Amino acid sequence: MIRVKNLRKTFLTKQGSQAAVHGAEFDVAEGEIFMLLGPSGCGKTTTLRCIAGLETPDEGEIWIGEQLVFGDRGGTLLPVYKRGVGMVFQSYAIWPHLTVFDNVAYPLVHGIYKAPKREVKGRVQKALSLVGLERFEDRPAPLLSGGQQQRVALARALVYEPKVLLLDEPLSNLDAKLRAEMRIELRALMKRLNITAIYVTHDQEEALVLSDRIAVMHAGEIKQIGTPRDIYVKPQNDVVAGFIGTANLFSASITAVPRNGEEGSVSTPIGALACPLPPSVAVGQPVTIMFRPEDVVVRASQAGPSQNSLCGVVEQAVFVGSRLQCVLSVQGHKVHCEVPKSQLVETGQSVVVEIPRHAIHLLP
Amino acid sequence: MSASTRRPGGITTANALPLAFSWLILAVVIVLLAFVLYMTFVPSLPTEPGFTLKHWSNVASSRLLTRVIPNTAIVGFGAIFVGAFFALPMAWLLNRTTLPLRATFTTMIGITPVIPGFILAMGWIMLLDERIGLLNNVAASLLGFSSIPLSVKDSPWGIAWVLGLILAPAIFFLVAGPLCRIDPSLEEAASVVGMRHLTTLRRVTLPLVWPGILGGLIYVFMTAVSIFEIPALLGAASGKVPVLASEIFYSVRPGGPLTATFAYGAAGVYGTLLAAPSLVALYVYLRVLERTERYQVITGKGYRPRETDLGGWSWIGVGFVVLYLALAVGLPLLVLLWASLMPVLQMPSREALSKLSFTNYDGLFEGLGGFGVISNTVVLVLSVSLFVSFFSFMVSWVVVRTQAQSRKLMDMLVMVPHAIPSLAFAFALAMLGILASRWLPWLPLSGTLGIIAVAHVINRMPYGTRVMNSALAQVHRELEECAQVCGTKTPTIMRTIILPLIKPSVIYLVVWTAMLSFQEVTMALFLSGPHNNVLSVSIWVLWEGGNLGTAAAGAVAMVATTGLLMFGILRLAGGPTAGLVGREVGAAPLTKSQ
Repeated sequence: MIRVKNLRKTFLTKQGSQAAVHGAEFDVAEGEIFMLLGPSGCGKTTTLRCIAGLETPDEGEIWIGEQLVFGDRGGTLLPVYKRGVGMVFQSYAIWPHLTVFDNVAYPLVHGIYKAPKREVKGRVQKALSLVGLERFEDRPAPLLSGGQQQRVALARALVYEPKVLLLDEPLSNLDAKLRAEMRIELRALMKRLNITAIYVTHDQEEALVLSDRIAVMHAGEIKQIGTPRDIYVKPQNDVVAGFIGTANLFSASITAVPRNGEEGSVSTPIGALACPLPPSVAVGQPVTIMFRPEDVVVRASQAGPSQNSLCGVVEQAVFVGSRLQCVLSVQGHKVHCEVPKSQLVETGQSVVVEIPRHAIHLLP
Repeated sequence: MSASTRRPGGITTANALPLAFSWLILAVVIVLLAFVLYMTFVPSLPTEPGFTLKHWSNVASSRLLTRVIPNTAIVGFGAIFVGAFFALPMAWLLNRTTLPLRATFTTMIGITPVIPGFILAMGWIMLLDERIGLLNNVAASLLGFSSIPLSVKDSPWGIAWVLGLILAPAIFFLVAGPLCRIDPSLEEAASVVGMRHLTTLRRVTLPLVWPGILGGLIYVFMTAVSIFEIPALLGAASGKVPVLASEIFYSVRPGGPLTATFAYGAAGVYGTLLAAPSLVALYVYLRVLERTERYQVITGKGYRPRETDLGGWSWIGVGFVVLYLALAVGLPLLVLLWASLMPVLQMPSREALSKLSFTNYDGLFEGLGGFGVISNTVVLVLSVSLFVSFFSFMVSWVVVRTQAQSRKLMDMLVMVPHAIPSLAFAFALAMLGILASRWLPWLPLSGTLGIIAVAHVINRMPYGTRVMNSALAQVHRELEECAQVCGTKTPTIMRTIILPLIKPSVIYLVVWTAMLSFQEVTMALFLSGPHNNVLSVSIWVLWEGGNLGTAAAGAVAMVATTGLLMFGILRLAGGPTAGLVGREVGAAPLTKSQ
C-alpha cells in the first residue's frame, strides 16, 4: 500500500546541512499499522511529513497505492492536497474558529474531497460516532478537552475515507491514563476500518501495544523493522535493544561452540555464561549478549547447583508498585533486574543472580 | 525534476501567488528608489538627454552648508531631546511602576499618532506666537508686558519643540519594549550584591536597554528630519527656516503649482542625502532589534518585570503623563476648537464667549472643496487600507509561512520605505507621473488619486507587514498543514482558515492604515493637482491662504471624524481588535508616517 524507497532529506541550518533522514526504506501492507519509533530528532516525523507531502525529500521514491507521489527520477511531486491521505497532527490542529461539526465537515465542504451538500451531515455524524462524539457537534472546538480534541482530529481525518492514515504522535499530549485507554481504542478502530496507517511515536509502550510492525529509527536511519515481539525479543543491534525496554548489554567472547549435545558458552565481564548459540560462530569470536531485567532471577542464597549463577550485591532497589526494580553489582558491573514485590531485597544485601540460558540473546 | 523543486524549501506552485504579489509591490519600491538616484544625474527631466554631476557639486553651496544642514541638525537633535525628555520618564512610569491608570495612559499615547501632526502644529502656532499666541497673551497680561517674544514660528527650536512632542510616542514605545524585556533576575542579582536602587538603574538596567534605545533614537532622528509638513508650517514655507525636507519640496513645487522653477536634480540630491543615513540607521536598528529578540528568547517569557511602588509620589507621575498629553494633544486641540468657534482669534473672556458662533463651520463644506474632496478622501482612504492589508498579507505569508529563499531579502526590502523619506518616494512618483504623461498618455498617473494611493501604500507597507508578520506567526503551522492534507489549496486555506484566525489583526491594520492615510498631508500635497485634492490637503491650503478660522474648523471636523470612526469601528469589531491598539502599537513602534 505504501512503499518508501531510499528516502533522503537534508535540512539546511545555520550550522550547515543536517541530514534528517538517510536512506529510509520500507513497505506497508494494506490494513497494516506501521510504527515509526525512535527518540526525538531521529527523523521519524520528517519521514511521515515526506509521505504526506508536507516536506519535499531530496532523493528517493514514495508510492501510495499504485501511485508514485514522489520520485527523484522523472521529477514526480504530487502536491499535498492530492495525495488522498488522512493525517492526525501532534497538536491536533483543531481550527479554533469552527465548531466540532464544521471542523469535521471541512474536507467535505472545501477542496478535492467535496461531497454533495445533502451527504455532508450524514457523513460527519458517522465519523463523529466512530470516535464517540455524537453529541458534541455544535460545541466550539476550543471548549473541548484534550482527549475530545484528539477524537475530533481523528474524525476529521477519517471523514473523507482516505486510503492511508498518518498519525504524528497523536497521543503524546494526553495524560498517562487516557493515553493507555486510547491506545487500545485506536487500534480497535483502525482494525475495524481496515485502514493502512503509519504512526509516529517516541513511546515504546505505545509502539508495542498499537502496531503490527515497528521500524526503529535512530539518527536518520532505520535500525530494524519487525513485529513488536521480534523487536523486543530479538533486537538486531544495541541501539534497538537499548531503546525498547531496559536491556543488559555485555560484550563477550565465545569460549565453546555447541557440539554433541553440549551447549555453547561465552565469557563475559560478569562471568562465564551458557547460552544458545547459532552454529555459525567460532571460538574466540567477539560478540554482544543481551538479556532483559525481567528474565533475571534473584535469590537470597544458592538453592542447589544451577546454571549461570553469579554472586552480586544489591546497589539500588526501587519499589514501583507491581515489582521492585533493582540494580545489582556483579563483578563490578551493573546488572538491571526486576524482582516480585513479595520478595524482600535491601540495598547492600548479597544475592545470587541466575540468568536463564534461554533469556540470553546474541546480537548479530 | 527541475532544480528549483529539488532544492529544500524550493518554490512550489502553492506559493506562486503570494510570491508574485510580493515581488510586484517590492519591484515598485526598488524602481522608485533607483529613480531618485537616477534623477540626480540628469540635467532636468529624464526626457532630455545628457548626463551631469552638477547637482552633486551644487551640494557644497554655501546656503546648504550654512543654513539648511545646521537647521536640519537643530530640528533633529532638538526633537530627540524634547521627545526623550517626555518619553523616557513615561516609559519607566508606565511600564515599571505601579502608577494608576497605566493601561489607559498607554492606549492614549498609542492613539495620538492618528491626530494629524500638522493640525497639532497649527494648534501650537495659536498657542505660542508673539502676535496671536494665547499663551503669550496670558503670560503678558500676568507679567504686565505688552507682548512676549517667544514663538514656535520661524525658529528651528520651535520646530524641534513641536516635532519632539509628536514623536515622543514613537520613542516611548521604542524604549518600552526593551524596558519590559529585561529579565528581573538580572536586576535582582544586582540588588543581592548590594547595589542601591539608583546604582542598579545606572549600572545594570541602562546598559541592558541602551542598545535598543540608541537604535530607536537614531531612527527617530531620521524620521524627524524627513518630516516636511511641520517645518513648512513653522517657518520653512516662508523661507525663514529651510530644512532638507522643505528643500526637496520647494525644489519641485516652488510656492505652489503656478510659480514653478523646477530643480528636479537638486531634489533628488536632497532626497539621497536624507535617504542614505536613514538606510544605515534602519540597518543598525534592525540589527539591534534582532539581537534584543534573541536575548528575549533565551530568557523566556514566564516572568513579570519588577515594578516599583511609587507610593505617595505616584500623583507626581500621573501629573507628568497628563502634562505630556495636555501639551501634545489637549491644548493644541482645545485652542483649535476655540479658534474654530471665534470669528477672529482672541483670548477667552466674557466678551469673547458672547461672540461664539458656528460661522466658520457654515462655509466649511464649500471651503474644503465640497463633495469632490470628500469622495476623493473616502476613495483614497479605503483603497489604501485595503491594498496595504492585501499586499502586507501576501508579503508576510511568504516571509513567515514559506521557506522561499528570498524571504529574508523580502523582509528587509519591505522595510526600506520606512527609511526613505516619504517625500523622496513622492518625488520619484511625481517624476514618473510626468514621464508617463509624455510617453504613456493613456496611463492615468500624474495628478490623479491613484498616484497618491500608490505613495501611501508604499509608505505604509513596513508597518503593515510588521502587524501581519506577528499575526501570522501566532497561527500554528499545523493548522494550515492540516487543511492541505484535507484536500484544499493555498487560496482556499487563506480564505477559510488563516484570515478568520487573524481577523482582529486584519481589522486593526485596516482601521489604523485608514486613519494614517486620512491624516497624511506631505505626499498628498506634493502629488496634488487640480482634481485629486483630499481633506488634509484642503485644510492645509486653507491655513496657508490665511483662513485660520475655517482651517481650524476643518481640523476639528477631521479630528472628530477620526475619533468617531476609530472608536466606532473598533467597538463593532469587538474586544480582540480593540485590545490590539495599545499592544500592536507597542509591538511595532513604527506608527508615525514620515
